Amino acid sequence: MKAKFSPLQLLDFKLLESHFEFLVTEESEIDIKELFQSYSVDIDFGIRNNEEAQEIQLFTMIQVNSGEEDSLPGYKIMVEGGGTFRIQNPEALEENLKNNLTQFSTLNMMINNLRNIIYQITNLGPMGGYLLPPIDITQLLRDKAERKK
Amino acid sequence: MNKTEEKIKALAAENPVSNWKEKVAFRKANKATLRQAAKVALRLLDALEEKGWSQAQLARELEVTPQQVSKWVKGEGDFKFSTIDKLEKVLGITIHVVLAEDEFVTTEEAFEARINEEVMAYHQRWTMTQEYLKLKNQVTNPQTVMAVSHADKDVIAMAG
Repeated sequence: MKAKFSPLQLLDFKLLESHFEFLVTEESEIDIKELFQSYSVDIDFGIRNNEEAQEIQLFTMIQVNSGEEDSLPGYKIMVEGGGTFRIQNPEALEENLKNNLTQFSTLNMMINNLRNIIYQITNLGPMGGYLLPPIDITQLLRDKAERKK
Repeated sequence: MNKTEEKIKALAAENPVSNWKEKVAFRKANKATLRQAAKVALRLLDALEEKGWSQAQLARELEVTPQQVSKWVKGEGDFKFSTIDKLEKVLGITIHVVLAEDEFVTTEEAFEARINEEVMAYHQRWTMTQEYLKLKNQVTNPQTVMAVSHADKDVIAMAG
């Protein structure tokens, strides 16, 4: 099936910062899958619409198992990335679709890129690769909107 | 008939005595060799100028006839490796280079242009990164970043 390109273009992606730590555990029997599932995930982001350049810039940070005191054994990770997007012919798009592309799709792509980076970093770690679970983007955007209020 | 008259007669003749056709054929057949010889000739002339030597002096240094040197600087030389080696030693220059498969020749200008391109590309990357870092500093202040809407209708990306 031939894929149709989206009007949303990813112009640039950069990894800005990353921290990785492996917390050793005394326990000899650990269910890694279960452990990974109990990791907390914190995501923060900032979107800026540069109307002059018709570009959308998005900063995204993901923290995994990084509670200050109650971190679980295994991986403690933080990654930060920046991305630049552009919508081709925005005038030709409906407002709802434009909003979806600007907010949902951009954040979705950023999280996917950072997920890939997290997996690559942890894949060399003692417990193997950690795959960031799918994130509810709607809730993320909702939380951000609430914070603005 | 004196010499001038002979020349005029030859020019006016139906089939003038001239080997221009042969010369053209030779140049066509030996285009690459002649181009190389011309390059070497220019290099030799440059080296002689730098050293302040005459062609006769070079002939003396190499123990060859001045006519031989004259041929080289006219771009009519067909060099042996031993001659190239002598020329390189006497003049302190490099004429012949054999490149390995992954080597390439570049000029100073081309090298500089490449460096400039790399600097520009780095500058562009850095400018973009600075924009991201600015945005990062604003994340904690939700008033400064773009408002995000609830968009309950037509939600496409529920999970990402």
